[in-house]
Formats: sequence, C-alpha cells, structure tokens
Amino acid sequence: MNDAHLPKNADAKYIQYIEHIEALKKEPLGKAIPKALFKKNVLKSLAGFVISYSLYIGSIIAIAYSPHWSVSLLLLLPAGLGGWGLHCIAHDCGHGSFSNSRIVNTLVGHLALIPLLYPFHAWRHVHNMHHSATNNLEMDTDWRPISKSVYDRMPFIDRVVYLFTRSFGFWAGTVHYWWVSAFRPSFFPQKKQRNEVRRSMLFVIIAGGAIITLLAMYTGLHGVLWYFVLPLLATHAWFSVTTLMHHTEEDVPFLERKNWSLNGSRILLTTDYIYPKWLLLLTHNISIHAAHHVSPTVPFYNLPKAQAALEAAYPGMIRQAPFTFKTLWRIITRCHFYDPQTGYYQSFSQAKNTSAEKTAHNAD
Amino acid sequence: MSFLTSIKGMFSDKDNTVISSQDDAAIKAWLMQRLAKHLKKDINELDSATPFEQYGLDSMFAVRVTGELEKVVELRLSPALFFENSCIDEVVSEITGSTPNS
Repeated sequence: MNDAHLPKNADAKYIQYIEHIEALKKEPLGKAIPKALFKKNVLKSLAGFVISYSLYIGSIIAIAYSPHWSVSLLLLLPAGLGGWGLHCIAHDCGHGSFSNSRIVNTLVGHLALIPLLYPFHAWRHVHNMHHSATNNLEMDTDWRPISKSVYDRMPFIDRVVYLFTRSFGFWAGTVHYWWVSAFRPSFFPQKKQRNEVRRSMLFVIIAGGAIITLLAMYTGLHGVLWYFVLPLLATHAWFSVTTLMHHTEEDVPFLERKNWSLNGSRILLTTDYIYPKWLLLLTHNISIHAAHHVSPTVPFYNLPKAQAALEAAYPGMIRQAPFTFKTLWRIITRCHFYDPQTGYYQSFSQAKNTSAEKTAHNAD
Repeated sequence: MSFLTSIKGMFSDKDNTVISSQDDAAIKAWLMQRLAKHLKKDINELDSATPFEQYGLDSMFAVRVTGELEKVVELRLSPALFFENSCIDEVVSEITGSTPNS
C-alpha cells in the first residue's frame, strides 16, 4: 500500500479498511451467489408491484376519507411507504431483474415511478453511476460528502441546500437529486442515455401532467396537495432515509479514487439494516444491500438467500446492523463533511472549530 | 413543419463529436482545439505538454471542458480531471490509460 494516498491522520481502522479493499480487488465476489438465485419469477415481481401500488393508492383513498388532517398526516407514512416500495420495484426494473423482457421492465419502471414524477431512464442511469462508484469521493452520485474547504467555495444557495439536506432536511435529500438529474439529459455522457432520458421525461410530463390536471379539476388544490404532492414528499422521505443510511456512517468512509475499488465498495462500504419482516416485504428487501451491490441482477425476492450465501463465503465481511432512530440521528448530526485529515466525517460544528483554530494559528 | 422540427430538437441531441475513449490522438486534437478556441489563439501556438497554469486557465474552464469532454468520449470523468493532471498530455493519458469510472 502506498502511504502517500492515505489521509494524513488515518487511524489503524482506516488503514485496515484500505488493506481489505485492496485484498478484495480481484476477488470474484459474485461467484459466491448460486446461479439459481438469478432466476426471475415474474409473478413474484408483479405481486410486489401490486402490493406497493395498493398500499400507495389505498393510503391516498384513506386520506380522502380521513376525518381530520392529523389522521391524514399519519396516513402519509404508509402512502410514502407504498411509493417507496414502488421505487424499489422500479429499482429491479432498472437492473433488469423484474423480468426477462426489456419492454416489460421499461414499462413497469415508468409506471412505478409516476408517484415520484421521476423519469425512469434518468433514475436508472444515475443509479448505475452510483453502482459503479459507490462511496467514491469524486464519482459517486448519492450522498457524496464534500470537504469544508469545497463547501466554503460553493455559491450561497448550494451551501444552504447542502447544510439542509445533510442534517435535518435529510428527508429531502433525494428531492435535491431529482432536481439536479431527473430532467437534465446533459447530466449523462452518452447520447443514447440522453435520448432515453428525454423519452422518459416526455412520459412523466404527459402522465404526471394528466394526473395533476385531473386532480386539480376534480379535487382542487387541496387534492393536488394531499393526494399527490405530500405523498410524493413522504415517498422521498423513505427514499432519502434508506439511501442515506446504506452507505453513510461515522466509520464508513467515502474514499479517494486511489484508495477505492469497485469490489471493496460493494461489500465493505455498505450497511445491511435489519428490518422487521413486514417492512422487508413492503420495501422488497431493499435493506439487504451488500448482496445487491455484489450482484445487482439478483431479483429482490432472492436477496435473503444471496445475502446468506455471501455471508457464508465471506464470514464477518457483510456489515449488518439493526435499524434504529439513534443511528439515523448520529448520521444527520455528525456525518456532514468529508474530513481530509482522517478520511472519515466531520460535523458542521467540528469543521467550524477546526477552521477557527487554523485562523487563530495563522494569526499567531 | 418548423414547429415539429423544434419539438424534435428538444428531444434529440445536436450533432456532437464522439471519439473513442481509447483514441489518444483524437482526444488530444479535440482538447487542443478547445483550448485554442478558449484562448483565442492559433492551435500551432499551443503545446500539449505545457502546464495549464501557464495558460492562465481557471476552474470554470476546467469544469466546463470536463462536462463537454464527457460527451465527446461518452464516459464519466472525474470533476478533478483538470486539477489532478497538469497538461493536455496527462489528461489524455488519464482517459485512455484507465477507464474505471465508465
């Protein structure tokens, strides 16, 4: 290992991380997962789609008949869960694991992402970028932290968005990703990708526009807000919490390109959160994440077995933890900036104190 | 007809150059032309081994050209490409030598 690439104050655990990542570089991780687990069962896939759409629509109908706004507010939780479940189905479509038919995958993917007004191909291509650069400090598209010095040079509005979405506005983090990439074909390097994104955009504009127009005509602005906009935001909250927690923790670093490897990111820089069975069902096993990163084409209903096979082949390597709000709290209060000194995270206040100390030191 | 053409234009790319990410000569030529255009100089006055600093290039140029170059080589590139490599020759080697981020 070349010490020149390590952060100045890298601790023993960080160095061990880099050594493990280096050791895994050429490891055929995917071979640990039996071939039978890649086989698709369209009925199981469709069942997931129907369950999530039913939960989403059912919750919205319940909101429409809710006796009080406070009950409606509570009902946004299952509505968002339904919308998030649909996103998880679109996730399988994007990886080609929903069915063997590309047309079916594309069609279902587009339908599943309507509640989020997310053009399917835009999401698919951004998500592939995340897979090919998970926790890469320069190239990841999801929840990539920046250093305080980069933050200081950012325009004011970007600093406000970063400050908000890395802390108490974490639930809107994916809204921001949607804003910057969903309707921006120029985000994608390949012409083929850009044209696919444009077609998906057209679909969302027509289908989403029709839904919002009909809601406005028959239910007014109140309906647009409670039956579409708020469920969309609730879906984003689930989306944000899940994706933030998968690859962010105090001791799960984002790595500079020279220390990073694809294999290492797949298994070592991912946390599998242990969900209760009902939540696993409604989120289509999305929290079984390391196995998904190792082999993205494993359908969601086979992920538990894939995880077990991976754990058997690489004992102790998969990072598993129970989901707790305490963990979420720790992430949103401490994992703010990339700390180039340690390679881990700094909180906003830690970074501020470090800057103040540096200024005082320079003044002396 | 013109309305339909403009709608079609919204949903397709204007013709853009596409170069193989392995074609170092073509990438170098594209970068030299782009630099000459930016500096309003003749391409023969430029040297691919001269550090960017000597041409007085700023970060805005680096970010813009990285975005354009991504579409030319149809590959995702590091935003730090022009900061980590000091001249056109190094940028070309970086792109053709390793494509881990595709």
